[in-house]
Amino acid sequence: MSKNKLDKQIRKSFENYEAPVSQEFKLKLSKKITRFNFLKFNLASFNIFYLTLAIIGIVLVLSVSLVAKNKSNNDNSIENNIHLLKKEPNIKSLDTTTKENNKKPIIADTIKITKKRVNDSETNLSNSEQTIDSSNTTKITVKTDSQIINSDFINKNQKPTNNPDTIETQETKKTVYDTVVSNVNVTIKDTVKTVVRETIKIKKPRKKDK
Amino acid sequence: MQPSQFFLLSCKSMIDDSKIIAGCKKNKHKFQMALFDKYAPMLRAVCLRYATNTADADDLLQEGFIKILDNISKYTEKGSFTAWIKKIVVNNAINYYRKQTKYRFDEINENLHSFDDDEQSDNKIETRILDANIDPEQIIEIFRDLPDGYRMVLNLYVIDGYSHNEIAEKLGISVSTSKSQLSRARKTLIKKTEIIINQMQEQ
Repeated sequence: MSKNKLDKQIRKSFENYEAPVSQEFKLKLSKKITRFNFLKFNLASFNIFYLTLAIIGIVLVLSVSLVAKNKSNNDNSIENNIHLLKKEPNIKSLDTTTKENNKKPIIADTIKITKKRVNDSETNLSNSEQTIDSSNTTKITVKTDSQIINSDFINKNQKPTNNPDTIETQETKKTVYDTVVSNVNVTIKDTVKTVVRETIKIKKPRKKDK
Repeated sequence: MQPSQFFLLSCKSMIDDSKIIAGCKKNKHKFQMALFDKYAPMLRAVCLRYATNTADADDLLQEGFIKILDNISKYTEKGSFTAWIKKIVVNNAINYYRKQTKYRFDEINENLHSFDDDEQSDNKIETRILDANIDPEQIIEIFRDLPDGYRMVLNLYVIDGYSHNEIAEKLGISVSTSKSQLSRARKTLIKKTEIIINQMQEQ
């Protein structure tokens, strides 16, 4: 017998041979086909590409809405700041949202006090030579500007008192320049920067010799 | 067979191949399952020939069927659809076994004439095989016992009709190795079949 005959015999036995497939296997394959269809791009049916697009859309909408919300919050805070600044006539355009916020009333008070003192001293000097605010003049003549400001911070609630003794001593001195320098740099967030620089020089008229 | 079952079967067979293919090209689950119902038994038989066990055969079938669905858009409907899907499953089986580390061919150039000489001595056995009418499932059992290399070459050459050149190309071996593997496979097959025939005669 030739090899061909054996080959034919084997081929013949497999010719119409079919192996049945179990129902379990069919179900398993059905699930796999569903997953395969989901992962494959197809315009006609819902698949992973549509799902991805939907997720991207949702993320975009959420991010846009969040950004808009943050922006409106910022606008509100700026408006609030402007509103607060309007309440303070001496300090315009100070931002209350910054950490300088806590210093704002102190600065305002300081400036007010120094201005008041300067005005007082000016008027006192013009009216009467003996009504100079002794505490004020003492500080101004002895201390530097920064020290003055610092001391003003500390003693902002202390009212100036007239001390005749001090006045006496001051009066014996030759010239007293009452100089109040308020040099406060205020850095403000949100691109608002205000520099409050105020220099007031008051020349005290020389006292005439008796 | 009950009339309802017969009706269902006839309905399934009535669905034209072209309709099934068109439905599969649109990724319609219903048509994909219809394709499976129609061709799965034939494809499973192919997988059983190449696989070493039933579980492997089922894996090959599943993987092969998904490949068919994945590539069905490339089918131009010029040749036979059955031959096309069979080719995909066979190629998948070859790739599957090529990936296996245990899958090795004996790269020894054997003296093929010695097999030709032995052939004459096997004549009696072969005659008995031809007379015996062995069941395909029994031949599959014998196939499974063969080493991977023997089984692959035997399947490709004897049943699927590939030439030695094609087999050498597909399996990445030399033509002489393919020939020697086939000779060895035949010899082993004859011996194993003889044992089965003897067992059958004893019964």
